[in-house]
Amino acid sequence: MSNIIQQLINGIILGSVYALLALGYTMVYGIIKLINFAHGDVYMLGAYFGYFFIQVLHLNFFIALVLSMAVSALLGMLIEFVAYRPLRHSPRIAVLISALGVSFLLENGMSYFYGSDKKAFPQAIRTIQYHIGSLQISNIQLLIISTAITLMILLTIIVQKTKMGRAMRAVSADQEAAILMGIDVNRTISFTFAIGSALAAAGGVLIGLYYNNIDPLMGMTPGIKAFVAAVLGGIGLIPGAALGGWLIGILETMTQAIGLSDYKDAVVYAILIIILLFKPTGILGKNKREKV
Amino acid sequence: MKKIIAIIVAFVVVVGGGIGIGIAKKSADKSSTTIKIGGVFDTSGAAGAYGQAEQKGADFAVKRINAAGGVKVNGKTYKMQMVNKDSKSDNTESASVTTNLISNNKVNAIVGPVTTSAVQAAVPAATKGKTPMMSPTAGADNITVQKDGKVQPYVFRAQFKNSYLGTKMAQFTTDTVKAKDVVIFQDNSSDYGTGITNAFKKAYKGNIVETDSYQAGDKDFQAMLTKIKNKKFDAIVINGYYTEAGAILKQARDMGINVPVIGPDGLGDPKLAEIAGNQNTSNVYYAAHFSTQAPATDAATPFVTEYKKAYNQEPSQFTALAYDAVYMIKQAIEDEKSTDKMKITEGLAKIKNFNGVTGKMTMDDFHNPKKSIVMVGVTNGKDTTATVVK
Repeated sequence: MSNIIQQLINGIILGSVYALLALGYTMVYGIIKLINFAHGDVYMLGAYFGYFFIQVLHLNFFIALVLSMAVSALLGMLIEFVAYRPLRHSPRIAVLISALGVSFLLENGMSYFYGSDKKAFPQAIRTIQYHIGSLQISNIQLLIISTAITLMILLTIIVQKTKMGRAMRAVSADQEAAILMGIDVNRTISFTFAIGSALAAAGGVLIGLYYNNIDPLMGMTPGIKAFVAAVLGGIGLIPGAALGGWLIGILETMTQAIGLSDYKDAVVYAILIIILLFKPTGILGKNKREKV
Repeated sequence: MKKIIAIIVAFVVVVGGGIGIGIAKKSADKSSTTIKIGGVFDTSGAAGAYGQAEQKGADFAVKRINAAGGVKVNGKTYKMQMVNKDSKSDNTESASVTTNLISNNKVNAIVGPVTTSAVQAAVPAATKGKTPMMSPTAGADNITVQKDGKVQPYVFRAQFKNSYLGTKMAQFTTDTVKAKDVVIFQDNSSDYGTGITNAFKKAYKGNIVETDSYQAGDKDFQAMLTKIKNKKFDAIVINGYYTEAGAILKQARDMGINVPVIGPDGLGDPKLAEIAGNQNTSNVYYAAHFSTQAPATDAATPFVTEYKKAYNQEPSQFTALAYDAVYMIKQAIEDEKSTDKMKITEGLAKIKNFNGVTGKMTMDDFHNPKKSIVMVGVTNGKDTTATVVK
């Protein structure tokens, strides 16, 4: 029994990172209907920024975390400005291909400049294990969960309570109507990319610290899994992304716990197919008929 | 006047031609006292580091053979010569370089290529050119076997095949670590991990509590480790490469699992301790072909001293294997008393109790050397012990 609870905790930790990533996917999709395939690579860059701030500039972990979130936010805005904005009125497939291009550019660019081998992430915080009965949790695992939850609460406040949040919701509901209401759509989209990228970077830095290694392709698998999480929760819905992230994390862990470690990735992708076949709007999604 | 010039010209042509033929004949004679060994090494690209180390090893072997008086066959002394070509970590390149060495450079034997896939690509070229090819470091079991189960007639290797590792690791686990119950983690995204696991399972006499698989690139092993944490086991065997093994090691030690960890040569990289953290990399044993700390035979010590003198650095296991590959070819030539390619091939297949720097080797029916391996023990991220498993 305690084993199952321990596995559940493992799943929630893994899921927290997927959730942070899935939020970025879902926000961008919600606002410009684009699956931003470069999102996983922003997560990778976030980890590298964290590596740079801690290893080279010897900053405190939390300062490094905030700084790499800020730098990644700027980078997210830059990617949007260079690769997506000029294609705003092109067919959606063109933007999608542009996103794939950005993804390859970032992965291979990093491999070219910094080498494709793994780098050990500096252990800025010493691992301490806490024991509660037969359960075990480390300070870093607690840090991951608490950072993820804090950032999600912050995001909810931004989206629900601020003027910019209202603009985001307006653009996502109806872009043209938003323009008529005097909302600066370009600025709002930029802001969305900034927030999504900052969340991804936070995930990257936390994972770097947790697993102690980073490489230019580290964003690929988590990126795809976070995408599945976003679809599972209902793409375009912020609570859906958080829910989807945790579900995927728990599902992946449980698949291994029952001895199907060979199939853990297969199970995640099978979920994507099943969801797309039977409930394409996701768990929290409402069925909405496309207007013709 | 014209006639005289014509006569002079004719004279010059005839005499010059004669001298020319003489020179040509002389140089032909000279080439016949040279044994050419083709080197197919990836000195650039992804496998560049291995290729460079092996090229150095082969060059060093040839240098030492020549310095010691060359190869004596039927009273005639031959000099050895390496003809190295870069296969650029590319399979197509490896095949074309091999063909080139055989048809243009007329080599007597080939050392290389470095990796399993490059060897597989070069096999047709070597077979067509009927030239023996000795790969220092290709590990996959099937490279010396044809599709119908017969041995590849021209393909040999200097390192042991992967599954042989599993057998020796099982022996080490029982005899030295004295573990009765083990947990196995295997990388199932390549034949390497699963092949070693199968051989280990066959040879291991203790109890295997659990076998779990992961994929190359996985980072989270919490679920896998939580599952085994409360079970009874004395050792963990990780059949994979250092990146994932390093992550497993870190997460296991963080969780308080402190049993010995045993792995194949895939774990033998300084990056293992970098990823796991030095404090977590203790009580770890990995297989190696060669260790400067534990000479497997009496040939090893002079090799290490001489190599250090020549290059000012310690030879790696790749260097040592390439060195042995060249010496095995020399042995084959001396045994068969011929520099003929077919004879060298026959000689290589018959190698018995060859005293190499990486161990005493005997070729089995499938051209795989049977030899000892070295298990290197790591404490605090540093190689501290080395045990030869005979």
